[in-house]
Amino acid sequence: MDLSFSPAQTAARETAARIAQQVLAPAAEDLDRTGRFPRDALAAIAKVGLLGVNVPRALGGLEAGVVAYSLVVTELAKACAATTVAVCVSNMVAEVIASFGTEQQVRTHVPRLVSGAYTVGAFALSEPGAGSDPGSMRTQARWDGSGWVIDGTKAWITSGTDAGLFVVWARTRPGQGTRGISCFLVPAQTPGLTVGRPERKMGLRGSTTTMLSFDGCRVPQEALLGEEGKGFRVAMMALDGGRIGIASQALGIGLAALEVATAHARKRRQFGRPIADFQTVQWRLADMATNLEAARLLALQAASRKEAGLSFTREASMAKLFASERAVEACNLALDVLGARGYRRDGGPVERYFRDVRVTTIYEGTSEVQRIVLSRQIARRFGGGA
Amino acid sequence: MNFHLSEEDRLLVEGVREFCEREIVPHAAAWDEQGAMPADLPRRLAELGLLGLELPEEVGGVGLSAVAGVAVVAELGRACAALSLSVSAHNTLVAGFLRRAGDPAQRRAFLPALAEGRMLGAFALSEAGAGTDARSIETVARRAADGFVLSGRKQTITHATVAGLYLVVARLEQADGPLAVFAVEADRPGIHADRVATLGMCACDVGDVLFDGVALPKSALVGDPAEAWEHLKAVLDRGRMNVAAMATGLVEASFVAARDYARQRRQFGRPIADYQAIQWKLADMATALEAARLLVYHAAWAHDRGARTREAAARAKVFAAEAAVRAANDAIQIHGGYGYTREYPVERYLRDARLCGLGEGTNDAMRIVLGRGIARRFGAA
Repeated sequence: MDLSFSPAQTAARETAARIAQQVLAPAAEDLDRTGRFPRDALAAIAKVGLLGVNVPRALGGLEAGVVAYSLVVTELAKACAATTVAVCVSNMVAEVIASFGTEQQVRTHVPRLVSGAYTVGAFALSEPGAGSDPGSMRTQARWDGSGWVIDGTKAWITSGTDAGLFVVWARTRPGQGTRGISCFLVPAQTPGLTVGRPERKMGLRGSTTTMLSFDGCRVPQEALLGEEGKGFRVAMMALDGGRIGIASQALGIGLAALEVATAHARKRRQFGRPIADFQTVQWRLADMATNLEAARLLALQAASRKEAGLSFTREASMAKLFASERAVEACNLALDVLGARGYRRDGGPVERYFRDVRVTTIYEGTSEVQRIVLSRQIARRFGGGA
Repeated sequence: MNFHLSEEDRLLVEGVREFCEREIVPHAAAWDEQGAMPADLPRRLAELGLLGLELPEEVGGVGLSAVAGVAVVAELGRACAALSLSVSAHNTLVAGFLRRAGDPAQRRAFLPALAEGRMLGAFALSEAGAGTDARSIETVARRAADGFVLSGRKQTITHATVAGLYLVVARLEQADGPLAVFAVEADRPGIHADRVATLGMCACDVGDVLFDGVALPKSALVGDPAEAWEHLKAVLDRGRMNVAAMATGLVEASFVAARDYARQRRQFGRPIADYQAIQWKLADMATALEAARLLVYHAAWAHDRGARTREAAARAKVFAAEAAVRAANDAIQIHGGYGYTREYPVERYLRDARLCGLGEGTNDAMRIVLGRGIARRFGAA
């Protein structure tokens, strides 16, 4: 057992903390108000390698590993959760292509993702009628003799307005459940692909979320990522890894809320003393800190298992479930500590944290989906029952 | 970074688990009913090294790290929480304090006897008026011609009536004197111990001990009173990790019992494990178990590195203690009416788990530690 960080992990975290403080934090409130996509911040993030934290150096990445990725995401999320989710998804797109892509696909796309030439990458898995149950997707890709023609509608696409490359899942064999699904790499300007208007959301407003319409969208054979009909495996790998990212993001938002609440509790005086002197406030801070520490260890454990090549589905689901739910709770408790001031949009960032964090129990697999995953893992790990 | 036990520690923990499955688990319910463990158990535990877990080998110990130590305590907690409470008090509080603060003669006199199970240790700190506020102790040791005379009443002491050695925390000389710790052999005249009945942990001997003018030699004083409080805090921090570890053992026991029951119990034509209402509880238990374990290991790992562990221990303890109560409660719920009967172990798990949020610092005391720590860390007003 060694719970310390390597120099490379510490360096990645420090880089992220610096960018978070210098670039993300000053812009966060404005992004939230305007719903503007954080192109400048993402360019700065790409410049220091943080769009390819777990991508080989030969492809432009940091090659710092999954633990470093988790640390980076947490640091960025402390400052701006909206920018962070674009970073998370783009990192996972680069990783997935690096893992499943042909040499040609890897060489074409990964350096552009990591350098920021694509701005960011995006996943297109969900559909209006296929959320927690992606196997029920209806988007189709059919081979017309010289290429794949994609038709259908994708929903909840993070960074939809600005992503340069989409990883798109579509059914290539109708009616075969999760087995008939394939995965395609579709650049943003491909004819037949239309990006919808950004959704109006409760939080994470600096992250655009759009629909994608595919209307006779033709891509060549080389766009197929992985084997035809085996795209669901790619999705599952992306989601497992993505859950480490979202756990780390939720943790970052929760830690930011804890810090703001604590600073406020020390400064704010009532009944002649700082409210931090009252146990009702101390208890809230203690519970936030305890749960966030557990969340941190769960996320790092999942990350270190992935990094070591061990199974990590169970650990990633636990980390995502626990970190997101406890981070939502932490932001709620922080609001208690700040009182009416925290409820105001001009009263500091906790009001935004509260809105931003709420999605972490929903996307990348809802809490309910995590519990389904865990139930299956429980059944699998301990054999067939009585 | 890696979260694994070393191969050596893993094998050791497996050995403890096998021992428990063979020699402890089948008897845990009966011991709970009887309110006692067999008299020859300490000898058997000592043969396995369980009574000198972290003591150095030269005094008969096994020389484990804290990480391995908490892993062992968690295994015992899973099998029989009362046993883990007993082993933990003996090892961490009594042997741990003597090793830390004792002089060479005291270490020679007591540590091998503790490790070999010739005497069980009892840590006599709490009093009627001194619980969470441990410094309000009223027991006094007055200086006499050739030593001290110890007078006071200690309450809710683990191993009260079976201990061979008490470590007694007392005021030196007068009611507002410095705290000092004394090693008191149980056969000294003037000691009266009574067993008390408890909600859970029933197999573990717990009681009140009256020290009625007990004459002690000068050599009974352990360590310099000026350092006693620091030593006590350090030992209690390590003790909290053990309570947290036994709580994780209880979470695991509750989880396993509930999972196995849910698989074989059929209602509406299918195992109740097929229903999401049950699956959700099991998934949350498994997640809480993992989180609690990581907090415990993190605290122990920090301890092994010589880092400050005040808050890490408090976090682990409050989290694991609350998780243990919740898991046992959910396990009873999954068992339905059967869970409320003594035919199944889960009602015992709930009674046992309830101690984890009280002993060696209540959940509220842990939150005092944590609340203060956080306020300190995040800068001044």
